[in-house]
Amino acid sequence: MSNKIKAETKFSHFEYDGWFSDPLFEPLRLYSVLPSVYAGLKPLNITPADVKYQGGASTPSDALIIFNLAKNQYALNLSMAGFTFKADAVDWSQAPIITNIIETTSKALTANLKTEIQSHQLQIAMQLVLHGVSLKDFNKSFAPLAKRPADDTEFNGIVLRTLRGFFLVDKSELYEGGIFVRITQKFEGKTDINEMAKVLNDEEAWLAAALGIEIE
Amino acid sequence: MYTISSDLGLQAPGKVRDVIKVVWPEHKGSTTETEGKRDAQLDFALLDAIIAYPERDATLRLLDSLTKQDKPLLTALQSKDVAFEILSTFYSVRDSVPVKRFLSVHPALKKLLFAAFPRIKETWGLHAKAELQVFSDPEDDSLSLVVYIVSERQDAYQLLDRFDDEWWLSQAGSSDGLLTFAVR
Repeated sequence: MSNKIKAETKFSHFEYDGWFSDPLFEPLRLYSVLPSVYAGLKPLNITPADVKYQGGASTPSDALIIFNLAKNQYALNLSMAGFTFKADAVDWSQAPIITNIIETTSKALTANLKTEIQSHQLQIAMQLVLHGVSLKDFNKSFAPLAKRPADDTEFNGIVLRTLRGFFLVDKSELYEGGIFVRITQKFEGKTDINEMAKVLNDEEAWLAAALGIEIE
Repeated sequence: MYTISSDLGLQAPGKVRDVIKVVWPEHKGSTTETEGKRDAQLDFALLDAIIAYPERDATLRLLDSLTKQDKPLLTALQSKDVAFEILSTFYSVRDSVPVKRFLSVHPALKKLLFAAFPRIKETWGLHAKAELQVFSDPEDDSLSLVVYIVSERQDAYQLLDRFDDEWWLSQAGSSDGLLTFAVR
């Protein structure tokens, strides 16, 4: 039987950012590829009502067009600098459909705009509630408590910066006895989304093992 | 002349630490006390203007986005089984209670279903529909999940062979025989 601490996922969020080698600077170029992006999303039951036009952009990375999918749980934002995919309440079972959306969108944009997605960032954020252990005891397992004269330390968080990204573990601001976890991974150049997703999955597994938790 | 060096402390990867040097104008001396106060105020105004925080400091923005805690939006689905709710935006589910129950007992099938949906559309076309239904085998009372592909194409049955050859046969092992695809 596993003696790992059960960590119940209360909320999870995934975000992918893909940036063009150079921003387009010209909104009309982006609008011209909308039919191709929309056609790529049609197999996923997108309708015209799911496409939203935003107001004028003040920077190239501001979203100009948003596609909503899956009862608004998924959002695909297009900007002159690239595109962002966001998903709420995610788990790894959704990975195949999410990577399909990112891959399809990436192909539609790069083929029609004659550009490349030069850098990528994948991110998972989770609000987890720990069962059977207090935050103080959980904290002891991986970080020595910094001694404060008033003994008022609530939680010793972790920020790990690696060659490819960040790990953050903090006390949850939302859930009693909970922690907030964020894993960020960056990639450069032409990289397959499935490979990047696998790295993110492996890093999540590594962090869970390091913390001694089992994410449910 | 006074010179203040202020180190903002956060180091961008591979970059030299940012240093802001604030150079105060040389004080030329005041003839009256009022002028002296005004000069001092001008000095401070200038200082504020010069050390104004760099508006788009990438490192600080990154730190801010890193530590900010994501919260569920009001529109977020509150169901315990959000993956099923999302699946049901892609598949038609005729009788959702047994399908939901079956998938909660066999959660690995959800990943297969998410992977299968784009393949179904690729194979049978955009107008094809996919329905989920729990099938109860009358011979041994065993249960399995069936994806019925509803297509008006003449070659719908032949396309099932193509679907099997190109994708499903390489995946079927992970379903433990609990998932099948059929054309209706």
